[in-house]
Amino acid sequence: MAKNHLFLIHGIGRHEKGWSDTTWQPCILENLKAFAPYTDMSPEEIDNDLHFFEVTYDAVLDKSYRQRWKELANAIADTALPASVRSVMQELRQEPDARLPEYFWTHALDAILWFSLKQARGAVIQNVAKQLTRGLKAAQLDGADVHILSHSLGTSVIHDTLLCLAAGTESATVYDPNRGGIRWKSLVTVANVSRVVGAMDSPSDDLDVDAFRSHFSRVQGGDLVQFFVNIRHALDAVTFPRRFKPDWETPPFWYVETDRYDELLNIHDFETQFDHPVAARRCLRLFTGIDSLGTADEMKALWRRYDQKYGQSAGGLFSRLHEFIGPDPERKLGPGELARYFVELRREVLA
Amino acid sequence: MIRYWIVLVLLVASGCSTVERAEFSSATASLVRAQDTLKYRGFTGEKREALPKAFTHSGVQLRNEPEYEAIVGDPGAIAAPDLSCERYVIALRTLLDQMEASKSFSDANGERALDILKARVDVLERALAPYKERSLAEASERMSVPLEGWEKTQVGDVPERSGRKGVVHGFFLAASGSSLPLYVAYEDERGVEDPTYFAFLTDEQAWSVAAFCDLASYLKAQVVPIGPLVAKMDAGDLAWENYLQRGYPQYPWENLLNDKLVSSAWNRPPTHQFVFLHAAPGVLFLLDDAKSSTFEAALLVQALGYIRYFDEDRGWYLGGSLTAAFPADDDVGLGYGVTVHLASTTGTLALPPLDLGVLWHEGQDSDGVMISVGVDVLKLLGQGSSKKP
Repeated sequence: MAKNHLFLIHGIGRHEKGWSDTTWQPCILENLKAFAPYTDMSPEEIDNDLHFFEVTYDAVLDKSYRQRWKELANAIADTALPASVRSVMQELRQEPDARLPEYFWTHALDAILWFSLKQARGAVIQNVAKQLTRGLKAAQLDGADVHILSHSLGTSVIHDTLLCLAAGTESATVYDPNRGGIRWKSLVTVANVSRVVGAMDSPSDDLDVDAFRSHFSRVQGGDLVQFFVNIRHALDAVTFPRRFKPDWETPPFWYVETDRYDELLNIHDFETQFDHPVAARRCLRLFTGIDSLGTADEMKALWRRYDQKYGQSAGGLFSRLHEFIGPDPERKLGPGELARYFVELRREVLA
Repeated sequence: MIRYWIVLVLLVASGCSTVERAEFSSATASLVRAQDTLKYRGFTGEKREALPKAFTHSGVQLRNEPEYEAIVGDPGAIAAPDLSCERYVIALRTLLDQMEASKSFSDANGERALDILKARVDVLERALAPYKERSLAEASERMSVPLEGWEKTQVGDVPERSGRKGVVHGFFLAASGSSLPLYVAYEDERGVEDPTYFAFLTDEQAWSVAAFCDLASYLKAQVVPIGPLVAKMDAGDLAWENYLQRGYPQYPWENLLNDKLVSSAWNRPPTHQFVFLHAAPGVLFLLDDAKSSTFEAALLVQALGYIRYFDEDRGWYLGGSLTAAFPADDDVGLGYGVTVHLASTTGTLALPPLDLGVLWHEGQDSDGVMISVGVDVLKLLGQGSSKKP
C-alpha cells in the first residue's frame, strides 16, 4: 500500500524491463536517504512511501521499425540487387561496416521516428497510455498520489500522452481533472525536449496541433498536473535548440538549472541533473508529499557531496553545435537536421 | 482678507495632509508587505519555529496518523466506486458539523476557515443536488460540478524576507474563490530554509482542515472509472501492434508514404496501408513447366498495392499489389502480374500468411503464366528455401 506512485519515463536508447533498477532508482534513493525520516529506512519501508513504476516505450519503435527493416533487408541479402539499392539494404541490415553508426540505430532513431512519423508517435502514445492506465489503477487501489518523472525524449512522450488522454472521448473522465478525472500530483521533466521534437501533426482527433505546443499546452501546474518541475543542465547540448523555458508562475512551476558535471559524456544523463541538491530536494518533497523534507543542515551536507562528486563546470563547450543550430536558437530543426545534430553531438562528446 | 485666510488655511491643511498622506502611504506600504505574511488574505499569521505534520505533509501521508483517524476515522470505509452524490455530501457535511461543534475553531482564523469550507460544501451540494442518489462518478463527468481543488498546494504571492523567497502552503479552493492558507516558508536560492514559519491555523485546526480536504479529495479519487479504461487501452495497443509489428511489413519509404497518406490517431490505428516498391524474396512456379515441378528463386517487387485491415484489433488483412518478378535464372525472364496478400496478424486465422501472385513471364525460350509465392508461406509449409531442377 504505497502512498506515492512514481511513474518513470525514460529517454532515448534501449530500456528493458528493470531499466531503472541500476540507474535512476539508486540515484533517487541516495538523495532521499540524505533526508530524515528516510535516512535509516529499509528499501521496503521506503517503497511503502514511494513506489516506482517503470514505463517503457522504446520497444514499440524498435519492433515496429528498426527490427522490421532489418528483417526485410536480411531477407533479400542474397539477392542480386543494383548497387544503389544494395547500399541502402546494407544500412538497413545495420551491419558493422555500414555508414550509419550504431548510435544512430540504438538512440537517435527513436527521436527521429517520434519526431517525424505520426504513426510512430501514435503507437508510442497508445502504448504509454496503456501502461499509465494500468499503473493508475494500482495507485487508486492503494489510495496513493501519482507523480511522473521523465527524461529527454520521455518528456515529449509524456507531454503528448497526457494531452491525448485528457482530450480523448473515452479517457477524459479519467485523465481530465475538469471532467472528474485525476490530476497528477507532480510532473518532473529533466532535459526537456518537448519543443525540439514537438508534434508536426496532431496525434489526436480531438486536438489541433497547436494544443501540443508545450509552452502553452494544458500540461501545466494547476491544470493537468498540480506541480511541474523542469530541470536542465546549462551545458546539455540536447536542449540547446528550442529550449523549454516557459514564462510560468513559481509555484506551481519551478525551473532548476544545473551546471556541474563529472564527465562530458554524462552531462545529459538523468543522474547528473537530478543530483543537484535544489533539484533533488524539490522533486523529493513533491514525490513524498513531505514539504518539510530537507533541513538546513541536510541541505548543506548535500551540497558538500554534490561539490565533491561533480567537480567540473566550464562554459563555451560545444561551439560547433551552436554553429550547427545557427544564430536563432528558436529555429525548428527538420527531421534530417535533427538526426545529423544528434550524430554530430555524439561525435563531439566522444571527441 | 477673510478669503485670503481661508485660502491660506486650506493650502496649509492641504500641505499637511499631503505630508501625512505620504507618511501614511509609506507606512501602509510597509504594513501591506507585512500583512502579506501576518495578515494573509484575512488570516492572521503567527511565527512558529516548528510545525506538525498536519501543515507540511500531504493527505496521503496523514491518513495513517492517529490525529487524522481521530477526526475522520477510516476514509476507506466510506469510499466506494459507486459512492452516491448524496452520501458524499453527507460525509463532508458530517465532518464539517463536527468541526463546528468543537471549540478549536472559535477564534477568528478558525471561523474564517470554517466559513470557507462551508461555502465550498454549499456550492458542491447545490451542484450535486440534481444527481442525489446517482453516482459521484457520473456527476463528476459533468464539467459544471466543482469537485476539484481540495489538494494541498502552494502559491508564491508573498514578498521576500531577508533575501529568501516565500511560499504559501495551503488549500486554494478554486470554486469558492477563497484561500485557506496553512503556513508560509522561506528559503534561499541554495534551498536552505529559514527556521521560522508563519502559520495561519492552530495545530488542531490544521489537522481538521487537512483531514477534511483529504477526505473530500480521496473519496472523489476513488470513484474515477479507471477499470473500464484499462481494457480499452489494452485493445488500442494491441491494434497498433498488429498493424505495425505483425501487419504487412513496410520499408522506411513505405512507412513515410503511409504516414502521409493514411489517416490515424493515437487511439485510432490505421485501417489500411499502401504498398510501394516493396522487395521480398519469393519463388516462382512455372505453370507451363508444371510436369517438372520447377521452382525458381526470385526477387518479387510489389510495385504498388493496397492492403485493408479488418476488425477493431486489426486482426487480419487482405490486399493486392501489382508485382514484378526478377527470377534468379535470366532464362525465365521478367514476370509481371498481380499478387494477393492475406494474413492474420493475431495468428488466429486458419490460413498461413499468403502472398500469392499470378504473373506473366516472357522468357528466352517460352512465355507463359507462373505463380509467385512469398517466402513466408514456404517457411510455414516447411519447404525451406527454393530449389532448382
